Amino acid sequence: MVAQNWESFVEFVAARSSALQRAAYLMVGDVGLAQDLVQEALVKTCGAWPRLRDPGAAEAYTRKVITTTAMAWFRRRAWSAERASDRPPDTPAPGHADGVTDRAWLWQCLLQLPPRQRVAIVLRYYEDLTEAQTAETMNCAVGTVKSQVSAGLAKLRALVGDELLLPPESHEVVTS
Amino acid sequence: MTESLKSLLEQQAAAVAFKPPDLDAIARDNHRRVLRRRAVTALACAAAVAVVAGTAVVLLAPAKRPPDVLAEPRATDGVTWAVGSTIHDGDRTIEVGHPVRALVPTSVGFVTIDGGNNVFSVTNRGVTQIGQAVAVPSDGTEYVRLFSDPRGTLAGWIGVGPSSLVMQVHDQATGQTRSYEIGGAAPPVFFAIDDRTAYWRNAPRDGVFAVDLDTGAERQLASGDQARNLEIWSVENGVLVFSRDRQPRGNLTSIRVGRSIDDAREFTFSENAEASHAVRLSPGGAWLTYLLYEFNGPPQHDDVRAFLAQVRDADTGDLIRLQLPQPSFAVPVVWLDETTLQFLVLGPQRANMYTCRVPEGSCDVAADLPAAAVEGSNLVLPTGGWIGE
Repeated sequence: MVAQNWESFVEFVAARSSALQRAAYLMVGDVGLAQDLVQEALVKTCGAWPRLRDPGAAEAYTRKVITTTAMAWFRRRAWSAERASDRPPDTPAPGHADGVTDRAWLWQCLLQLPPRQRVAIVLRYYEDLTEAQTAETMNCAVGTVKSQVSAGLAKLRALVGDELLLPPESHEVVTS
Repeated sequence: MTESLKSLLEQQAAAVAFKPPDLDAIARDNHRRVLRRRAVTALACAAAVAVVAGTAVVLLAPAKRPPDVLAEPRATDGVTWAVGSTIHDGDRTIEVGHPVRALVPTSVGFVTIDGGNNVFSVTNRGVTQIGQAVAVPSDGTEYVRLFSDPRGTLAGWIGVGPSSLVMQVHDQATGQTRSYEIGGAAPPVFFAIDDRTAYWRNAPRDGVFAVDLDTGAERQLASGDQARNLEIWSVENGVLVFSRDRQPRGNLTSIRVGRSIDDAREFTFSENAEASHAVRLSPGGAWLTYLLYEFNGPPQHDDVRAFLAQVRDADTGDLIRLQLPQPSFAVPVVWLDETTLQFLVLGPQRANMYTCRVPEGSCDVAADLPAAAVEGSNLVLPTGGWIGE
């Protein structure tokens, strides 16, 4: 890689790696694995850098590598440690329903979701991607995104109850 | 609980302190990826660049030194590569006195390029500078390339003429270097040399041509849009391998094989697979080899599951099963004769040159490569590709 490309790549890493690591962490639920995923994705991004040209394309490319690598890792893994379960995690004790407890509780519930549902929810509601962008990132059809998000939210509601304010099923603005 | 899912996710993620990515490791890993690609890219030199105008002007370049005339055939049954200033050719080594950055074989020796783009003829008579190459744009970058007919005495490159870039061809049988002008500012695209005929795209004349290098007579293979989208990957014994709709910077989803552009058979690679454009025909045109990329999904992203060196019958498309070691990364390098192919094989703790025979597919180790050969940018394959980036 020529020096000018390397400098712009380093700028991209400095600006966006933290955000990418946070999203990766929400997808996989493990700090070390998230860091490894981002590291691996950045190696691929570095290789593709001359043809990516603008930072937006680079971020989308890196996010897609993270997502597809994470899902491939999920497929390879037996997933025994975090197998989806219908049993909700322990409900927070009464009187501790503050923000920290809410967050920890929701986090535990999110980790109960099947990986593809969790990835779809993170991309839609944390990364604010459209359904089409989510489908592109997950390398699947828009219909698959809809079904994964719907199933994930339904399960999340079942796990956390109705108290938690969840986003509507769809918040995309449709214009005609 | 009034916090939204989004804000809870944001808080959860923000509560974690991440280590910054390891840029040194990225640079190292990327360098290794580049090396793997260079091994592939080096093979791409079957494609070449050359151009001759309709009124192709053939110039005889004055020799700066006495011509290196030699007609002794070179033994071509041994595997070949170069490291530093040494060419390894079967059982012998040749010290050429300059760092070899690109290398092509001929029937009587080699032609090389050094770090300053100087072009040298290497024969049993010695090493002689015969010209200077220039980098021409290709796939969004610039490459210096050499082209040759391994069964003949010609080698070519893009050089600078009196008023424009020219294709230059050196004949080791006569010691002469000829320049072929294109008559325009756009750089020529040199595809291949086959039996004293060069194949190139002439952008100013909007065509792809086959030019007789002895007489300058040319035959137009394609014009207009067809010429602009035509890429010829290999020509041997009059058989062409080409693409009619290749996308810039893309690999190949299909190739066409035939004796003319309009009468060729198309082979389409399987879904989620693409071939490197380093497609090489055997000297008689009966077999073709390439490196196939198998992707985990749609191949538009850098998600390669496997690299597969493949050989097919150029007529039927039948796949030859190669008995190469697994796991390994094998790259087809050059045909040593009609039925013997040289492979570079990289595996755990080893790097070897193999020879494989078709159609039986049997393979044997032909040479062990020293560790220094496969580190950095040291290894130069006899494909004409530039390793000097």
